[in-house]
Amino acid sequence: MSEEFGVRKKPFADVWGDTVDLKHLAIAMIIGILISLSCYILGLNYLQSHFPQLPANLMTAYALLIGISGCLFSAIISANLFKPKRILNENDFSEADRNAVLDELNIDREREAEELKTVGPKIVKEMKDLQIYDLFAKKSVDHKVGE
Amino acid sequence: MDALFFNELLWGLGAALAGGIIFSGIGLISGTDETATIAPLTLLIILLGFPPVAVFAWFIAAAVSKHMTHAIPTALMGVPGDTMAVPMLQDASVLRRLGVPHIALRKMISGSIIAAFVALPISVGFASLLAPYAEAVKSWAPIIFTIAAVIIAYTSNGRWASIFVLIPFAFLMQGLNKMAIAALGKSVFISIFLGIAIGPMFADLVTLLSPVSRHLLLRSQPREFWLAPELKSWKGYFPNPLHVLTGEQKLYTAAAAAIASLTFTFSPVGMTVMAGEIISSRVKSLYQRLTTSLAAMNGVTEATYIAETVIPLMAFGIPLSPMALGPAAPLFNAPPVFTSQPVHNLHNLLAPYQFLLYGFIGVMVASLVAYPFSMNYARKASVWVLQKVSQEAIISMFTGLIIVLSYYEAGVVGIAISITIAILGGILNRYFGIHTGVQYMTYYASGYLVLTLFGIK
Repeated sequence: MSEEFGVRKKPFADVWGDTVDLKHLAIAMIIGILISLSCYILGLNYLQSHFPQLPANLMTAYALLIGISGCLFSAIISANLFKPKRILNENDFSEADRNAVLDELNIDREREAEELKTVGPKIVKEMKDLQIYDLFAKKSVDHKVGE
Repeated sequence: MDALFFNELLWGLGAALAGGIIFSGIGLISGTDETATIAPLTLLIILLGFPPVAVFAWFIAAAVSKHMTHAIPTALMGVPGDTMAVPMLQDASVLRRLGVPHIALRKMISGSIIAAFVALPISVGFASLLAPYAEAVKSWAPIIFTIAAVIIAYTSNGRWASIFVLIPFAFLMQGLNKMAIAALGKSVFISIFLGIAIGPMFADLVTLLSPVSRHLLLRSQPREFWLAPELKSWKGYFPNPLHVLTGEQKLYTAAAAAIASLTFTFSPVGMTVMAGEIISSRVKSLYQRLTTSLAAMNGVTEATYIAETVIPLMAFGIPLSPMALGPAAPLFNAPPVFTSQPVHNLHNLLAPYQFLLYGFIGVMVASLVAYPFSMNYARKASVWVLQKVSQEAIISMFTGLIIVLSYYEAGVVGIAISITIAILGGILNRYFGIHTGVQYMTYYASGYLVLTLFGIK
């Protein structure tokens, strides 16, 4: 997937917390404004000409509903036109990884092993089910990480 | 009478169900701001004329559901679902790296269900205790808003910058409001409110448009996400939240939620951090400590969602908490249907038993919709969102939403006001730490400030 993006340099940028392609973003925003606003204005005109007996505030509220459906519609169009700029990594965990994490966090293994003895049976069962009990129960661990 | 009650009950259930389903979906998208999503849609149903009980049930179901599915990106990807999830990120990431992110998720959302059921009755009870002071609070409202604005400004990241900007920003908002009055003969609220909510996005846009600042946001590669493997470990569709947590964890969560419900004016993030610290210092053994503090911290954020909405709404009818200034703002102020000066909103339209009943309906519906959904489909749903829903599509939708709503309120003048506030407020927010809460509170204080300081009515 990364090759697909890496062929030539695209103008990626972080907007509102996630990555976008700037050209795509510009088109998507225009789509959003045009579709939503025309849905609202056309909807209001339609309601005014076909249901003139509706109270004015309800009329604009219904037109607003049409306008907001327009927003949803423009989101669907943009989602189909522009794929997400995200790379999804799915990782597995091994015993060595877990030990590495504990080392990285500077966990005091001796103290953890002591404290584990005070833990209630329900938590112990949970930890055993998850196969992380031994990770903490072992007092001194002889393992090599990374090398 | 009975027929009327039954009719209201059906409205409440229907609205709660709609809110629960819609916001279970929106919550999956990491980083979607509560204010920018819940407020506009709540505003919409108010303007559509939903009965008050339905508006309240919708809001509670929406807020609780969104909060619950928001735990998914936090636990599985290490990306905060919303700002309130930030304090939980570190603990969740340790569990994720130990290969048990699904446990982090299960503990978090089970904690939030328990907290929701604890927080609602406490909030309603506390609001009833405060209600006798309501008249005094209401008559002092403009001064209370001004004092609150100064306090919120001081506690924000911007600190002195926020206080320094307070009067100029109030002046700007009242100035724009006067323009609306000149053009349309009425003042605006929705346009200003939405402008503040969408501000950070506009700050990014302006940053990218200028060659001087563009490099701050440009990046050469797509963003990478790490997703943990699936590890399902219970049978059936409906897991029982009470079985997921141990006795001690339930106790800590309920206690933290109860205390958080009583501190409705404080910062939710601050309360969450504090709960996490206290529990971490008391609970031994890494795994037990992390799972307990995650359950309790997520419980605290859930409880503050509910308490910060219910207490000011029910007791005073004026927005005096961070939630009331953000996602819940339309419940207080949604002209022409609801107004907060003078108070005419859910405060007058709902009886205390209705707050309790329709609040429970909202929480129940959320726990039947969002809870089993997050427990069962967390991973599949995250993969779908990451691979199908682009950020462009989300921004496309929100741009449309803001434009339509401000046009609805005040035509092209509304759009202009909204964008002006968005650009200036957004930059103050992004680069100077003057967050949206400060800006909303400044708005509520602005009428009084401008009148007192400059004599402009």
